[in-house]
Amino acid sequence: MNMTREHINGVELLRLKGRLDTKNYEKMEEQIFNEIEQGKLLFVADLGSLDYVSSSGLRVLLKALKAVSAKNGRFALAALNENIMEVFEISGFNKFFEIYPDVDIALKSVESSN
Amino acid sequence: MKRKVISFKNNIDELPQIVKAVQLLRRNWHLPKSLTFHINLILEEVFTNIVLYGYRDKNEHQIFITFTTEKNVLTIKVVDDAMAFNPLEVSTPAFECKSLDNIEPGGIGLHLVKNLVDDMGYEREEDKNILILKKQV
Repeated sequence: MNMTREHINGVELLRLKGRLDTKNYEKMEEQIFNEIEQGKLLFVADLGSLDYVSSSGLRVLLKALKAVSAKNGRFALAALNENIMEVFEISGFNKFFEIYPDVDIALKSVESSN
Repeated sequence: MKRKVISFKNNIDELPQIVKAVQLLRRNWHLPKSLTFHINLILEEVFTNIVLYGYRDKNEHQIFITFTTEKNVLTIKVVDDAMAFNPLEVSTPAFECKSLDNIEPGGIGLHLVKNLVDDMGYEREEDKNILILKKQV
């Protein structure tokens, strides 16, 4: 798993790449919560290059969503591939997250909260 | 009928080895590529449950995974010597009914497994948990 961060018009864009599983989710959790602790509240996670996610990965994303929602922030997801989308649908997590087909649309929507 | 047995230590660091084993199996048995995502997910959830919650001691244990393919059905048998645990007796939460405020993320893994397999069976034999998962290929 690899995650890069970019600051675009007041929104934190997180680009996730590879596999998000039980072996590496803690690293990602730490990075996201560092941002949240610094007061960042608007996020878009680009999952376009994420190949795999298990329940450990879902839990981290849910935890982040809950943390920012509690402060009226937003944590949107974008560009999920078919497999990842299926995991969100089976778990029912697609009902909790804002999910956008691509990153630009997600950024535009989240920027408007800024 | 084809059959392959692989054993793994009760350590999360074994996960990449499981991924490799599934990849190899797909190639050798000519399984559809789309199946590997599901198999990896099913095995990660089952394996991590055993490793993280199944043992009271800190000793090394072996977890045996047997893959069998016959006609159009892939059967995965997972055998471990952890505490008795029948996943069929665990009711998985209905996530769709909950709001973000009261959703508890426990049990998602098992919920995914139950939805991704076509059939699931469990037996306790002596001190072993035997989980049998079937999936149409």
